[in-house]
Amino acid sequence: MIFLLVILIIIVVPVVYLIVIYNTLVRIRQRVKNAWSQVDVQLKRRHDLIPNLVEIAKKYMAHEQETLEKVIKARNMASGADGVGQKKEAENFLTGTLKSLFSVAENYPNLKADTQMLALQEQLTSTENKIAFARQFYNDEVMRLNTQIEVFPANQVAAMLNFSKEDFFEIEDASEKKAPKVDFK
Amino acid sequence: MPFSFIDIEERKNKLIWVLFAFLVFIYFLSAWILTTVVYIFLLSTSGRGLLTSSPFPPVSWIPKIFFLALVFAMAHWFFSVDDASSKIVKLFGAHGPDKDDRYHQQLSNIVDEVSVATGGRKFECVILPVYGVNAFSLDDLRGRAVIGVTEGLLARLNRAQLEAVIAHEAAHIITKDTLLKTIASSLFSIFDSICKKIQGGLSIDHSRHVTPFRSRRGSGLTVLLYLVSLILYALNKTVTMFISRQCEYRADAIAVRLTRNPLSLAEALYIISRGWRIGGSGFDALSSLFILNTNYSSLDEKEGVFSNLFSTHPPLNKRLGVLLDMSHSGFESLLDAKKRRAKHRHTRTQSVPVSEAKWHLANGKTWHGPFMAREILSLAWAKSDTFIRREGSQDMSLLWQDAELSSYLRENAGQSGSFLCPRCRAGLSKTQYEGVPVYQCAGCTGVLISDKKLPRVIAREERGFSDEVVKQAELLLETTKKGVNMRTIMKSKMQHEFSCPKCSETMMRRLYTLTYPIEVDSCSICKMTWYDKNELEIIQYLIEKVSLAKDIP
Repeated sequence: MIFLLVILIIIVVPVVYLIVIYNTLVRIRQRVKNAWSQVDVQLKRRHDLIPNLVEIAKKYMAHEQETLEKVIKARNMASGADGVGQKKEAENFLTGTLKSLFSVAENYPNLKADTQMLALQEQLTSTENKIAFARQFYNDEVMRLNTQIEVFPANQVAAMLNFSKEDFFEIEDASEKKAPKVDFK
Repeated sequence: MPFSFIDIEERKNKLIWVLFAFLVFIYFLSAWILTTVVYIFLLSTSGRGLLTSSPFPPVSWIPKIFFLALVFAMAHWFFSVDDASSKIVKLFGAHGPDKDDRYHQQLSNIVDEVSVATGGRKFECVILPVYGVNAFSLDDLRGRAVIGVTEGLLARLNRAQLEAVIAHEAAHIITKDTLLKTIASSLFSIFDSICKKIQGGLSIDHSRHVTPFRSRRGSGLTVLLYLVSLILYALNKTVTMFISRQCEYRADAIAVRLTRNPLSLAEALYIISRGWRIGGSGFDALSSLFILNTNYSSLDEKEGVFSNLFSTHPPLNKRLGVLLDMSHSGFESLLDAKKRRAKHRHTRTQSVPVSEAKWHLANGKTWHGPFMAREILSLAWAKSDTFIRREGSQDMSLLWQDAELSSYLRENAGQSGSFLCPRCRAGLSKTQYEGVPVYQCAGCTGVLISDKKLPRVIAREERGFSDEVVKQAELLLETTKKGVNMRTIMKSKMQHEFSCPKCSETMMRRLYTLTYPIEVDSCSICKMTWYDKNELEIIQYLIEKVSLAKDIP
């Protein structure tokens, strides 16, 4: 009787353990996929806000056509980008053009005081923050998945069932990694 | 050595679950102890004596005791937690954000951002219409998760600080702290109820009819039960308060994980601690729901068994220390933040002035003017293709080409069917005053505002005060001291009274308050009040002057 019980435990416990590990890995992998799609949702929101921004800015910045056109072009490229690598590059370029637009807008105080512009800036700030948080959440989930895949003995199960590590969403533009140089001349 | 937020979260997770398991164990043990006390007492007074029988209840009773204790606890907890969010939101008088209010819109955006940071957990946000500075979170069995802030908090914190506070409250919801703390509170409140019932039974009010507890045998048991319940209550409460404190530390760590900004959370806690935290408003019993205790207490700043018994929040200094360590900053950073805020108060923008520039406008072949921008607003023949030139310049352009003038006209033109200024009959334009939606006259700069929205204007400190406003406010204080204001009212009553722009009924002329005796006009039907030029600024100046004097340094 006891012998049968011991045999049962020897067989059942590892099987249960295997099932638990597998389910945990599947759950975390799905969360990683969901987190990546959330980044997409926020990027799309940013694309939708940009045409409004350009329309309001046009009323005040009649002589800054070049800057405005660059923003629209970058936005269209980002909307149409396909694949993770292309998307990252296009979004970084769009961020760059928006930064130029806002620094030029500093010379137009009436634009800054326009209530529609204030509301739109708040929406854009919020969207940029959401993109950052979505990337952060994605990276946190990737960290959990990679940790679960590498710890022992779960790494044996992961190797058997072909679970692979994911890449973090990292900064592509090397210039962003450099600290800004401030020169008071 | 500073701990990372990940380490703190992991340590506190383990500690909280161990404590909670310990609390549940104590609860069941307490139920068994109470049963044993009654059993021993009945045994000793029944004549059988303790020598012939075991003093403890039979072992077969144990599952029954535990089962009854479990049912009792679950019923008690269920009734207190079910639909708790809706009940408490109603009790606080909190309401959802106003979409037309810039600050409320920002709060909604921040709550959405924190929702993204948590991986998509939905939160509802509400605002308490009080000047105090505090925030709370609620969660119940129906899944309604609510984060609430006060108007004072919205006015005092910047975006990053507000985000950190919202993240802290969101942390309480995602870790189910509210449900956990309610279970824990429920457990020890059962013993509290027993003590109170016994206290009522032990009363020596002779007008009450005789109860069984009035017998000598009964009173002995009652006193024993009371003492035992009191000890068990104190023990349970200590553990519960300890759990509550650990939950606060964990929420701080999770907030840093969500926002990666420990310094902003430290600054926010510091600002909240220096202000009025809405203590004394009737919400003190629910103080454990707030980010900081509603009342300041020196007990909160201590460690030890006695302070653990009565304090739901950890010492502020310790919390700040942990957060400042994480951000590699010192206490001076908090003082710097306070100085930045004080500097902002002095350098904030003045009341938006009407443009002082003048233009000449061409009507057909004749030049007219010069006119100021607000005068052009009332010229019926001025259109976007009217020729204009600035005073002192010979350069001509079309009206729409002058960015300053065209934006002013666009912002201030009243739409057809909109309200008319009670003083100068020009169209009122819907605009924002310190982020609050109001109706303003571009001509006389008077403001029509709903009485419900006025506390937001008073709480916010966006606008600075011009020399003219300061002079008028100081003069008002002087004349108030001399007691002449009632005469001013009587005199002005004889002048033409205003009609409400919304419903056209006669508005009542009154003083804002006796403390701030500024003459305003209110419509009791629409609950809206008209403030003439500078009156809102004068009220804000006087109130801020008083509150600055009371500010804790």
